[in-house]
Amino acid sequence: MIASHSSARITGAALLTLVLTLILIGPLVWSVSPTDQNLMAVVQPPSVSHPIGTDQYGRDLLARLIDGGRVSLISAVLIVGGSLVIGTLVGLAATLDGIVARLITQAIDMALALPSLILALVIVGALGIGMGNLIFAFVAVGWPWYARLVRGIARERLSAPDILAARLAGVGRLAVMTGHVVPHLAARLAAAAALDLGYTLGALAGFSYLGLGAQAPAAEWGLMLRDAQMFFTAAPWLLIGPCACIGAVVAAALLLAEDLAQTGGRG
Amino acid sequence: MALLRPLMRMLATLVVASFLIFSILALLPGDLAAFLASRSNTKPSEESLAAIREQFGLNQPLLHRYGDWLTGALHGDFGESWLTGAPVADLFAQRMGPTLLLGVSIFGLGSAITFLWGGFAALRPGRLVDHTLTILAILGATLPGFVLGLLAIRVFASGLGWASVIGDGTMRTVTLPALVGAIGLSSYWARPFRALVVDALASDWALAARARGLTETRLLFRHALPNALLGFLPFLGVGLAGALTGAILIETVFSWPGLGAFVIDAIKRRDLPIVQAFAVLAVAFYVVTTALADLAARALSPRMQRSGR
Repeated sequence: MIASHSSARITGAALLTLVLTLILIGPLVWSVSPTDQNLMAVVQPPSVSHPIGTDQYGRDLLARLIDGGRVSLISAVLIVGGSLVIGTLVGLAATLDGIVARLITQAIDMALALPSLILALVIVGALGIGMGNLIFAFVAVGWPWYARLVRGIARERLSAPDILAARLAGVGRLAVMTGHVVPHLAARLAAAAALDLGYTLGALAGFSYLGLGAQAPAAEWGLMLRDAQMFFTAAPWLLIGPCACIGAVVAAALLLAEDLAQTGGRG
Repeated sequence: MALLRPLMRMLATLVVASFLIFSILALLPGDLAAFLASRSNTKPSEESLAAIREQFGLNQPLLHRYGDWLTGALHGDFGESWLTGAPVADLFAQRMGPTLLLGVSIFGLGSAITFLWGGFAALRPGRLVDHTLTILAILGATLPGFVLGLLAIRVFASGLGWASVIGDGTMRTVTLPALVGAIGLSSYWARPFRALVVDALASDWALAARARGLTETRLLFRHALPNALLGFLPFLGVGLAGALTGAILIETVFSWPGLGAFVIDAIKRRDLPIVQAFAVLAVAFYVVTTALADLAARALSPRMQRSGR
């Protein structure tokens, strides 16, 4: 779609590598505390001692960006991983015969007819705000997408001639599922998960920005933007780090997902 | 009757969804009565806890409470705020106008951008305009709405002084937040719309129309666009619902005095009747809009009409 597949893959991989380097290697090189306040150096523009400046408490923004990135990315990976595992199991269960499988299919369809972010808001409202509850809420509304995807692919596979042959040859249901259906899910699921990772990271940052996710004094990209809200007219550098990082991860996710969807992980 | 089944399905979804929301909020971990009593400074006695349970009907079985709540909601009574005691319906009525204005503006502006954008790209598939628009759509989808909003405030309002930073909920300040929302919406819409127009222009009937001597313009406006719009109706339904519900973040960014920020505040204070009413209304709006768009697409489709007769 975009110029060529390989350029989408290279750009996506490069952006992702850049952010991962910042988060994984960053703490080794930049050992400044993300929470230490220094009221003598509040809202400082970028300098040698603070490469991307300080916030209104004099905290080092680079250290907060690195620390916050870990929180954001680990949470997003947990949410996507949890939704993917639950969704795959439910989706496979929905392909079995019988009344239970029919009910599961109905439940998936009904869950997909509801606006997921509103339901996530309700769950956070019920459990109380905080990052753990937010992760739970996102998984609770995230799995039906994977379940529908898995159910569709699995049903297609189960009616294929080689599966019929395997069943006739006496291969059990479970062995057919694990040996002949699940391997076919990998590429499509990877594309869906890549796209979802970007979307989830953005939504997480949004919830934290609203004050419903990570809580002060923790650093998280969305929370950093919330902190910046009052001061960015005079201090635009407060916005640059989190905006660039969120944009880089979402763009990388979109590009890699597009590449995976078109090449199936090969080529 | 072909319309009856989808309508029944929609009603069933509404009932299940409202019960789900009610249960999630009712089966809170911890004793709600103790939580409510803890708002006063003195340590609550057993009697006062029992009185609170009685007052809020917390000692009734769940199904009974849901029935009461649903009966009230259908009569426009969504209960009272736990914090201020004001009727939730009144609180919502005061804030509904600005949210509707912003939501409708986002939807209208987003549709306009999408139709121009997708239409132009579809006329020259595979050419420079097409590629540029594809890349722009990806870029637009890259930054979440609230990030785009913060940057827009910085550039246009603080930097250039073009629009008022503080939203006052009227037409005067709606442009910037609506534009931010519309960019996100049209980034999501443009590619499917473009694909529909391209498909229509490349179809057999388009070829037949060209062979009969129809001009490209007439083909596009009289045949290809209406055909693409029909396939696009479901996207419009999801988008309209998304524009109103997703406006929560944009409202907060622009200090827009609508429902969004009010509900977020209620979540933080655990004023659950407000959260509950908002969630049920938002879900109902979403379910009804998407179902209607779906029904309209079916009812307008010539294929559907033929099979119906």
